Amino acid sequence: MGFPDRKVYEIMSSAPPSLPDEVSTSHARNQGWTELQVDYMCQAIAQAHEAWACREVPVGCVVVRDGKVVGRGHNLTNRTRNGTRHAEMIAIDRMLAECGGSVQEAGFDRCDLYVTVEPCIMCAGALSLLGFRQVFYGCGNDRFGGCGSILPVNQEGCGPCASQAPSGSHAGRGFPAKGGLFPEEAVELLREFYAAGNPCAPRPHRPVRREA
Amino acid sequence: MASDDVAFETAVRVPSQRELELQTLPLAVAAFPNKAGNVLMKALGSVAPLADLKHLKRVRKAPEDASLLEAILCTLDDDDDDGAPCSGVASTDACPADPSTSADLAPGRLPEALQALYAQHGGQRLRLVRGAAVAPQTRQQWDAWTKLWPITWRIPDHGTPVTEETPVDAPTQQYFERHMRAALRLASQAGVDNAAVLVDPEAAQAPVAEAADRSAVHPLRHAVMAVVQAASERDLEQWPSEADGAPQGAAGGGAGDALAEGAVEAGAEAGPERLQHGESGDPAAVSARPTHGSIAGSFGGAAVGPSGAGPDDEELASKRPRLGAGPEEAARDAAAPAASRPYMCTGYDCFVVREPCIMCAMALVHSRVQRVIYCRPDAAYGALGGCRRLHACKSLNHNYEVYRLELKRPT
Repeated sequence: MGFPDRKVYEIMSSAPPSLPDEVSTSHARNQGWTELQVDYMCQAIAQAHEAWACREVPVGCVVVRDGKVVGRGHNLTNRTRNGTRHAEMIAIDRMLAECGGSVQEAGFDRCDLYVTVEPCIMCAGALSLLGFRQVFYGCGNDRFGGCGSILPVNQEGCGPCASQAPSGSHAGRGFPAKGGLFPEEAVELLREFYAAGNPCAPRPHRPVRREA
Repeated sequence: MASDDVAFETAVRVPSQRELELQTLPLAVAAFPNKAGNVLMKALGSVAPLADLKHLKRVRKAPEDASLLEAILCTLDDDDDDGAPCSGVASTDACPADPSTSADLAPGRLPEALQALYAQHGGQRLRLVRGAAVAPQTRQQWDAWTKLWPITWRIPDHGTPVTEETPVDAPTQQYFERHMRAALRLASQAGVDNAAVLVDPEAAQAPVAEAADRSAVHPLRHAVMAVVQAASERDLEQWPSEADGAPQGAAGGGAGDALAEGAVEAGAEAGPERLQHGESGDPAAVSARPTHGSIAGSFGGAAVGPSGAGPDDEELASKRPRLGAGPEEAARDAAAPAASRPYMCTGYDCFVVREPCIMCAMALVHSRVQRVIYCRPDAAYGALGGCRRLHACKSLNHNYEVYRLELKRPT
């Protein structure tokens, strides 16, 4: 998919936090997460690392359908200069692209999403409109969270913004969401990122300073 | 619809009802043996009903002793400080759980009937606990407030009474009408019922971007999502490189490679949208209007070309139009000329035919628009006054003003 590969890290001034280690994966298993769930979320965290490597807010996700990872994405808000290009939206658009735009073929209502941070209010709305089956996330989102932290969009659903919902829309439908799978790793990535300053945030935010 | 000769009602500002602040009140709470539970509940219900505090659970398990339950006997005035509201909803940690706020209480302070009940059912550890005085309106408030004393969560009735809708002045009305007409026209030309127009109020002659609803083609391409996308493409077209925005320069040598790769990816990412637009054969449906250079008529087209070109900073600077003559922008430009391109949709007004859904309303928060003006309210799903009031949500990092500009109703 054209992501920068791992060598990119070597040119970064500091390494991103590491992937979940043995200790935290076994901790997750002890909390009742399955082997597969742990694996999917590790892949989502890997996506967040890709975001980190290209100076995007480090949030990543994977979409799983019928036991297969069928979509991936990470934030691209800086690169696209579009504050709505969150990991979930990127993954969804890629899936649609691979299906020639066919919502039916993409089969979102058979999909589970694994995302490192609780979907924001906007993304929770999008996931509702597409009828996602279930959402698993790492840490909660105290500023934007749409799965209960700020608003329970995942319970209330989202509207169509039109007098009639287009066919195949799941407007108004909610979805189950469950957090707590590798929350520390998700938070750590964000903390590292914002400690350096989001390179594209507006002034008077403090500017980026990295030692070469 | 002949959108050019429609008439409008006077636009009103849709008030953002503030989130409730936590107010607490002192509760006389005592512990009883578990077995007293049912009888005690009945007795309390008749002796001391708490009609105004239905949101509070009457009993809970004693936190540190499984053989006990704790019950609210009544509310009491406490002698010292009164109901200093714990600060807002965002900080769930601000209100400590009860141990630190509890105090031992003499049974003599209870009404007589409750004193009897207290003795009869083997009450002990009578103390004061502060609980939430009113029911929470959001789940997050519930999360924070229920830690004081357990609260039954009930989804609050939607459409809590609006406090006051204030009409706009004549010049604003005129400005609103002009661009709402454009949005209505765009929707009708595209044969859909929703469209959005982004306008920089400091340069309002031409809109920054406009887009009609395309959700028939892409399930998430609501008018607002499409217009935000169009604005970002215009931005990329007009200011193709990050080089003028300082971040890259400060980033150190090799980062350019990573950025370049990212650019390829962004281009690929935008591809399908471009394709979809091509299919539509309707150039009016989505367009961004750059003030120079070629028209970025296609979705994503602007993202691909110039990114790798290593453009000349000075040349860019000379092409860069003055944005916003407001004092704030002027000061910012003077202080940091390199940062003068717009940060997403900061300062823009978004005109949209239909009241945005929650996804679109939040997209406009992310995009930092200044005002949202809609024409047709949506009581079922509208997130800006209909069933929700996202602009009232103070925990967000940005809030915009919301106006409703309805069509004149036939008299």
